[in-house]
Amino acid sequence: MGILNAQHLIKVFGHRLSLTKALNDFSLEVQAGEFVGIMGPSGAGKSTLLNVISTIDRPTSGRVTLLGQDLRKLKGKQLAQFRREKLGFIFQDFNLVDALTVKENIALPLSLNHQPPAQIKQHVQAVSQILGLQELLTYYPLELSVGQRQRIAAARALVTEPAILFADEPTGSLDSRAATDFLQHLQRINQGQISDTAHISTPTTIIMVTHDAFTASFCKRILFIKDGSLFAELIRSSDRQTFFDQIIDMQATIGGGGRMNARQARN
Amino acid sequence: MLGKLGIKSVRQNPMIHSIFIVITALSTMASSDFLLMAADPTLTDRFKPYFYYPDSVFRAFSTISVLLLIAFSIYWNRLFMRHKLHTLGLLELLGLRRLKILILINGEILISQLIATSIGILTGLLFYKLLAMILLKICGLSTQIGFYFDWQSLLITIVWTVLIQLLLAFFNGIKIRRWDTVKLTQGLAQKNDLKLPLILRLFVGTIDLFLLGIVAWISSNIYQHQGFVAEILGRKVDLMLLDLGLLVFWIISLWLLFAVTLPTLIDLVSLRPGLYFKGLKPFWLAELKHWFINNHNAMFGISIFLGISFSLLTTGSLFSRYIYAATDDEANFSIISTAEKRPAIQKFLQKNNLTYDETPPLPTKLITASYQLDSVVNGASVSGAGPTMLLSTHTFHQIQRANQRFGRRGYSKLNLAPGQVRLIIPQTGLLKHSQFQQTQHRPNVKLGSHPSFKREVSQVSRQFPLNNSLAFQSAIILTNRDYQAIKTHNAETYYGFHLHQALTNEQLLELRQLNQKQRYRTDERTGQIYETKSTTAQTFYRTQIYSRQETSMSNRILVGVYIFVGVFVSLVFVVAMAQIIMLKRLIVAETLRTDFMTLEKIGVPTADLRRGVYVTHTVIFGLLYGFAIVEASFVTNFIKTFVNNPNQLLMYGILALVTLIYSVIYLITNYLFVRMVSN
Repeated sequence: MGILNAQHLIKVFGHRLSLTKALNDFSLEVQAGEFVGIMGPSGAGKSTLLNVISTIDRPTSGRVTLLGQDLRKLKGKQLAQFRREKLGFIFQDFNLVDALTVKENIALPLSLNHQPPAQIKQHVQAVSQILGLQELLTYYPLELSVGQRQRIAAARALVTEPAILFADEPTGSLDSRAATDFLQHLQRINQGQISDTAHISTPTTIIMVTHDAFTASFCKRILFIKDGSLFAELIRSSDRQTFFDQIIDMQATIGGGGRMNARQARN
Repeated sequence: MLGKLGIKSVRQNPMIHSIFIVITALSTMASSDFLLMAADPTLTDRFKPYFYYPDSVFRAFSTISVLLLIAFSIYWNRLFMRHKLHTLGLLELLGLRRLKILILINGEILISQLIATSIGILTGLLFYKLLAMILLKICGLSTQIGFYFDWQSLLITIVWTVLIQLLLAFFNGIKIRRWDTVKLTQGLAQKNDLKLPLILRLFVGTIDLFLLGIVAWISSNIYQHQGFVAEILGRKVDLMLLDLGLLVFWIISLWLLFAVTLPTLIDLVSLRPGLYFKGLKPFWLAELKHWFINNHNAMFGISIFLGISFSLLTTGSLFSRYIYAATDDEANFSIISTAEKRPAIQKFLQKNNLTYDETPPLPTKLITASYQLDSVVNGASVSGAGPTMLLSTHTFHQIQRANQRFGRRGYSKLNLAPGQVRLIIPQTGLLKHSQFQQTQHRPNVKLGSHPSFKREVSQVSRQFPLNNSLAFQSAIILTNRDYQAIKTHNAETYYGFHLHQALTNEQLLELRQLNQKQRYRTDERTGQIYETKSTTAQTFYRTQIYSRQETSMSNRILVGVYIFVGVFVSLVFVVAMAQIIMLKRLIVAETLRTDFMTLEKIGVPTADLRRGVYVTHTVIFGLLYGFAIVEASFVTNFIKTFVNNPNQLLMYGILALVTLIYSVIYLITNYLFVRMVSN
């Protein structure tokens, strides 16, 4: 059994007269160390899926088991503790606390876990080194570029060494250069690398929602969602460029174009 | 179109407008009620015997209420404009002319003001009778007051409303004219940190805390510590100058506290990871620091204004004790008279069928004319008191250095040696003494703590031993020579009448009519020689027949009006200040909403977040409340020296009421804040 197991997820929004099925019998399994991308057109249910499997939201029906824990049984303080200790989150708008310095933002989850100061310092230094933030620790988020801010958000998510990292459109606010830089960092984290020579103890499993093909091309596996259901799955088997082409084609296929649909149309 | 947009804007910003409406309505109610009181002849006629031009006094209170409203409106408008800047910037980008934007913004304010003024005028009319009855009750007057309406008062209220609106339009016009569209669309940047280096801030903060401490210490007993300041400076210190200096230092150090010291203290905590990184502490401490850095001026202003409000409330209640202290609460309705007029008084009492107890003859030497004396014992000035002035022993002690500045006409200085002094106490003290003789009940007497004064008085108090006679702990110390001079010219046996019931106004007036041909007068040159001179019945009444009922009544009315106005205006002010903090905190809540969502997502339990909100608000509201109490205590400490046996129960009672109102606003702020960040 994988690190994440979701079975027959259904999520319905709205009132009785206008119900919207955001997830329609969706099932998913993720193994430890994977870098999974979730793609799909707007309104396909990507973010809903991420919210449901990351404890932020609850499914209308279905079951999610994360790190061997049935999420239905987690409530209140237990749920908060589970999030703090096991999960990491990166959001599109970074969601950093502007009143805190970079160092304080990164250290916040450790402070919430009541870790000793020496350990906090050690973890902050380690994660800052991974994400190249050593020089920025005394600054405030608003004094930095968006790319740097997203790296801080990643550092905050990784500082507790979560078993699984959830990222919702993490490159949505970044320019291409900052996005590439950030994704390379994510890739390294997923592979358990600090630099070309140094490694962290455990590789981090990453589940990332994105609508951008270039961003998705850094993943090892991509799930395509359409109308709340799994439409297709792509697994990276060759270089990133080829994988990127495959993603583009799949996106076109979902939209009604693409080589796959063209072949079907010819037949 | 613009009108519709204005109404929509009011509905979309209920919080900010409701605060404006509540305070404007309360102030309008206060202002229009004072105007109605000024216009109502039934009410003003009742006050006329006790103070001049009561209508003008009420009009002045109305103006004070309006001035407070203007100050509040300007401040609220500033917050409102800050809140709206971004939206208005977008409107300008969409092509709306600045004049139209001004009309739009002031239209929105006008809608709120119209609602508030209407509520204020209506509630003013509705509650006029109730408030007037409360005022009369506090003043101890009984008159039937009905509902009252006056066109002129209504017109004045409307004129004020229009003026406030024009004033706000003027300010907003200037602001809009100076707009930078790019900045507007970006919104106002908030500061996260102070520019000064930490070491400099630490230095400033240390000096600031020292200053606050020293000002608090000196102000806690200004008369006593005046000597300490004089010793430090090596020269005499004028009391008024010292007061002014303390006020300036307090203002500077309080501003520095909010602007520099408190953020620096938080920085200091953040340097100790063991203290700082504990749970949500970093978030809340950073939020507090951010709050102080960006709102230090508001915190400073509110703490000063709350201090003024609390001072008005507490001093009013302190003064209330004076009503009873000036008379004698053990025998409320008494007359003291000379031997010459004793038969006339007895006749008057019998004619009016008034039952009374007469005190034994009081062969006492009283100074009945206004006489001020600066007494010096062993080279140190001890007291400055006239027999018609009631001062506590505490005051004697505290005022000793302040009196050194007196050298004016009619105020002589006596250099006394131990054993060469006599003690004279005023009339009320004598009555107390007679009561003690009759009841053997020891009056509550407190002595000042000044050692030399205590010693000298106890040596000379032969006739009226201390702890028995000094009902009001007031005395004048004279040389034997001066004592003999006064005794010669002012030898009189006095008679006290304890009445069992109150005199009516007619009876009091009749008492005044008792004719008297002479009075004692202080020689203006020496302040020691007395002459007789023909005078009026009124003067005689004041100097020779001392009716404590009337004194009590006039004091009660003065203090009653003071308390009524103080409590009424101060309550409006306390509510306004607390609501401004509420408004500012709710604006913060809007910006913190995302932070709260993030914190919940990364695993902070909602209960912890709520607890953080409560703690932060307790610090903010508590600091302001604490400083207001400290400032009020400075004022009350100052006033207390002039009031004997201050009514602290009433003071604490009124404070408890204000605290309750303040706490309710604090709780509402917590509730709304949590609701806003949880949405």
